[in-house]
Formats: sequence, structure tokens, C-alpha cells
Amino acid sequence: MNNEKYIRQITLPQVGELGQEKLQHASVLVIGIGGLGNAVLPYLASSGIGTIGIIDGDTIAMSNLHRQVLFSEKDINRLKASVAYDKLSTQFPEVSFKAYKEFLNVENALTLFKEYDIILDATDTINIRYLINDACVLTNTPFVHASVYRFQFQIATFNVDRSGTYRCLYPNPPKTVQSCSEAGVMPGTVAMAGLYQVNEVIKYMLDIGEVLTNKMILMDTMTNQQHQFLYQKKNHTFITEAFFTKEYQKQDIDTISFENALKLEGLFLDVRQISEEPKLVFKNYAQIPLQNLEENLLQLSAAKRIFIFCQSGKRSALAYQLLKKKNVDTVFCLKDNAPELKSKIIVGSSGV
Amino acid sequence: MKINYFGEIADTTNCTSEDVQLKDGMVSELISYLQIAYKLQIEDLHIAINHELVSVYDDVTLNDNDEVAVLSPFAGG
Repeated sequence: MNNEKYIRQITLPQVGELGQEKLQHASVLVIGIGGLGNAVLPYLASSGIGTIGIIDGDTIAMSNLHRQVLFSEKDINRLKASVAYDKLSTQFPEVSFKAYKEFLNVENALTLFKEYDIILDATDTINIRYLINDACVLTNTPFVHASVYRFQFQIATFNVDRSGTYRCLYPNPPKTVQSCSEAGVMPGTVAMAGLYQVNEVIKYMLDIGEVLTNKMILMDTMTNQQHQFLYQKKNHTFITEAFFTKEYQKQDIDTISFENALKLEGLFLDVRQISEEPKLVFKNYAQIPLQNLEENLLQLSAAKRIFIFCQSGKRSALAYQLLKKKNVDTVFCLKDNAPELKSKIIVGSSGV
Repeated sequence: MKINYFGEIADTTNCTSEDVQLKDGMVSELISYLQIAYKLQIEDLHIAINHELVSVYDDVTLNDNDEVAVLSPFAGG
């Protein structure tokens, strides 16, 4: 290996030639190529990590570009994993990149995790974190977590030599929580969170400093205050391969386009908060925020069909699962959500 | 007693901290207050006393000078 590129970090007594060699033999799987993924990938690569896996089945949208800086307008609608792979492979030819153009799921997680030294959670949904956590427990793989809410972010490193896990910090998924697309985020905030993750990976691989085990840092970038919260490690013996398979079995969601839904008789159910923009008013529209849905099921009893939507599709998927559990059968998630619906309603789709 | 709020919890309470009077100084009283005042659900609450997270189901006594934080997981990334 030509170490000239890395000479400035090799000069650090905590790194040295030996440390650089460790990085060269290290492998990291980055799950999600959103704001966090875009922040971590160039810095993991530029540090000389030998093998970097990138997994995401999503495509690039215009609203991604302000914080997902590996992508440009010409990349819109292309797969994030393909574009990131092309760009990073060109810039960092000495790194072996592997692109997985699919979403992480119950079928691929365990096999994939076994191939990597450490997992980097750069996802933007809570439920997938439990899948990542449980797969890490089953494969005895550490993972570095970050998540962002507006101008704050949380960082923690889990499952290092059986240290505490995400389930020790947050035992169960919350009923309601907003992602970046719903809550809003500045590029700099998510990039800072990503760079904390890179720092954790480097410390872990080099066995230097102190990784964030059994504690979580919450950083408030508005006040520059950093809060450290300790949590108790608990043994979750229920996490077995049988549990994993059952818990994360793919739950197929019936989806329908707005145009096709208009041709059918049914209720358009908006599960966003009342305060959220854009406000929509059209025929057969009703709004019940996700957290109030369970106690308002009676309001839906007369509907022949229910077409659910929200701001990004995440809450409508949760609402779909809730309604299915309550034996509401004729339910669909709209392929379009509020921002797309607004433009469709403005251009005068029939029947609205 | 001063209670600090973070993330979405602070958006719901519309403040990052407030003084809350608790009759017996118990965690369960704080949870009841958050449920009634802000319609927060117990499953969505995580409480730290002096930077140590405690189970919301363990009814711990709070002292006046304790630093109490209420937070929840973040989703964005």
C-alpha cells in the first residue's frame, strides 16, 4: 500500500503504520445512504478503511440533494447505492467498495453482517434499528448508531464485546417519531452526527480512546451543549434466530396510486399531525394523526376502503399495520404522500 | 423541580425546560403530569435522573436537586 496518502494520520502516535494497516484490513457496512451515509462514506474511505459495504434500495430525489452531497441533479431517480459506488470508487481506488442495491431485511441481514467487522447505522427509521440491533446481537457484531432530530442528534456504539445494545437504551419502538423528511434537518447537523460515527469506527478499529458503550451522547447544536446519558446493560435472551425471523418477516403492504384510488369508493386518510404542511382539502378526505388512530377507529367503520398517506410514507405504513391488526381489511397505502398529492390536486386531478 | 426536555418531547411541551411541582417527588407523578399536561404516552418517554436512564416503570423518588431529563429516540438520518 502506498502510505503517502495517509502520512498525516500515520504521524499520529495513536495511529502509526500499524494502525494504518489495521484500517486497511478493516471492513465496515454502512446501512443507508441518506444524510448520515453521505457524511460517513467519504471519511471512512479517506481514512483508508479497506472494505466498505453500502446498502440502500432507495433512489435519489431532489429533496435529498441539500444534505446528500455525493449526489447531483443528474443523478435523480438513480439508485443511491449505484451512484455512491461509482463516485467513491473513482475517488478512492484503493478501497474495496461493495454496493448492495436493496434494503436491509430479515433475509439478507445475518449473512451480510457476518462479512463485516462493524456496522454503521445510517438509517432514518426506528423499526429498522431493532432489526439491525438484533442482527448484530445474533452475529456478535458491534454497531455505531446516530440519529437526528432537527438540531439535535444522538450517538452511541452498541454490542462491543457484548456491551449494551439499542434495546438496553430504548427497549421498545416508540408509538410516534418523526424522520428527517417529516421534521426537517440542516445538512450540517446530520453531517456532524455522521462524523461522530466515523470517529467511533476509527477508535474501535484501532482500539484507541473510549468508544461510546453503555452510554449515549445527545448533542444540541443550537446550544452547543453535549449531554451524556448512561443506561443499564440488560440481557435480552429472547433474541434468537427464530425470534428474528418471526419479528421481521416481510409484511407486504398493499399500495395504490392516487389516480387509481380516485376511481374507487373510499376514504383518504391523512395520518399526519394537524399542524403539518401542506394542508390538503379534497373529497372523501379525513385526518386522524397516527397517535390518535387507535382510539378513533369507529370514525373509519363506514368507509368502504381506506387509502392512507402521510408526509413520507413511514407513518402510513405504521397506520396500515395498525388497521390490519384491528381487522380492517380494505386498506391501502397511497404511493403518493402529502407533498406529491398537493401538486396533483393543484393540477386538477379528476374527482378532487 | 427543573425538568429538561429534548427532541420531539421538547416540541410537544413547547419548552426545553420547566419547573414542575411534584407532591411526593416520585417518577410516577412526573409521568402522570406529562400524560395529562402534554398527552405524552408512557411508551414514548425515557427519563434520566442525573444523566442515568431509569425505567419509567420503576417508581423512583426524585430529589429537588436532581437533574431530570425527558427524552425519546430520534429517527432522522
